[in-house]
Amino acid sequence: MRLQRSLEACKFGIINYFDALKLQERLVSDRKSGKILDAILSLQHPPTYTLGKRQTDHNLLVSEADLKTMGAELHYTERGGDITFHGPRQAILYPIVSLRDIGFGARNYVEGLESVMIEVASFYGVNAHAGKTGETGVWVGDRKIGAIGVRISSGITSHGLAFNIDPDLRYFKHIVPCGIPDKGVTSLKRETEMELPPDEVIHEQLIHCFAKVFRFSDIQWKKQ
Amino acid sequence: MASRLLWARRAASYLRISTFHRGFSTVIKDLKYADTHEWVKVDGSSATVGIIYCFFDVRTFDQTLFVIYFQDHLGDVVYVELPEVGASVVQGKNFGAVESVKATSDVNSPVSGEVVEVNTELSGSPGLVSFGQVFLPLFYLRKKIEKGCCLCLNVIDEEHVEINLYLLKTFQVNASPYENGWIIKVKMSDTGELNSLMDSERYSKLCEEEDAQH
Repeated sequence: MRLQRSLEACKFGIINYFDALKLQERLVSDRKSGKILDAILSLQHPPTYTLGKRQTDHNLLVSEADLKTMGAELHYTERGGDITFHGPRQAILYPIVSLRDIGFGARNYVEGLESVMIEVASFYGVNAHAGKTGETGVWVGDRKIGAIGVRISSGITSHGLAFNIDPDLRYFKHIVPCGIPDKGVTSLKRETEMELPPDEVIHEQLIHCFAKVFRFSDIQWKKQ
Repeated sequence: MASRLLWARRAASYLRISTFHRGFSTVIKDLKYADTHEWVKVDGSSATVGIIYCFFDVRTFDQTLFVIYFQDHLGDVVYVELPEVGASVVQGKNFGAVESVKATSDVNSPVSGEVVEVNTELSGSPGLVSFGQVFLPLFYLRKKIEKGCCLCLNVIDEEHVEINLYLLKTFQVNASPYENGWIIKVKMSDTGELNSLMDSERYSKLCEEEDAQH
């Protein structure tokens, strides 16, 4: 017997990392207390570098002052994973879901997020795959096209995935992405031979795949 | 759930696995559980806290055959965030975190009180928290099993059974998880809080219920 489960999808434009964080914290708290059902945020960030709980700032190759000059921000977060970059033309999904309700453990959830990005990449003829053990994320060859960093608090997820549509890849030169040296970063634009639709279409495809992988019966769309 | 067991039985009989019964006490006295999957071992007003990392679910089919269903929730643990000695913890609130495979899971304290000790071994060996709790008698399958291993049949769906021979250094270490796999020790401020926690039987029912939904 399958329960009918709805996913509330909230579409944003470009929002500041800190604001998105505060929003997620509120939603996690509401989800925990049952005020809301499972939700997913779809957005992009201005140029932002983020570190995970382990604060591996040795993987940041420039000073904070230089970052300011570049017009980028730096944030320390509670998510898992190492250092990464977010910026315009990179699709971000932040699912706020109850692992118990969707029936996934942490590991399967992360694998599910990987499969979402792999599937959307395939729509554009790009053959992506999950990384080897210890290298979470989605790769084309040995170039990383999608990153994952998740936080689980009393069984509710926050943070999520970042999928490179066509961000300015030069920003990645200033970090050791995800703490994995010698591996490059790439984007859908770089890897595909097809013409890409507007970003909004790709965001929607990611959300549809997410709903499918995590077995939601329907999506309620909300635009902010 | 029933069809899964049927499949496990069919798979096990196909493999012609026979077993011997090793007595193993599973209803561990003074062990309580929170519904966010932490365990606490109580000794007077002193509490030792850890996490449940995976679940064994053992069913007997006949005199000679036992199947172990194993579910690993977190994946390889790479980092454990510890509080400071002297910090306060509050029942139901998070005090630290366990990171595995790009997901950081908050750990909530099952009891309130003061942290009197943290397991500093976890800094060098975070995998020590990987503790599997057994709810029913654990039977080691004899076929080609060395001491400290167990053979797990993980039923994925009607058509697929995954067989893992787990050497399980982690499990071997965590044959005494209370010595190695704990995270903090707390001097409890209110032993009455223990009444709101679950005992072995209720906790194992919760896990079954969670499992049966999917």
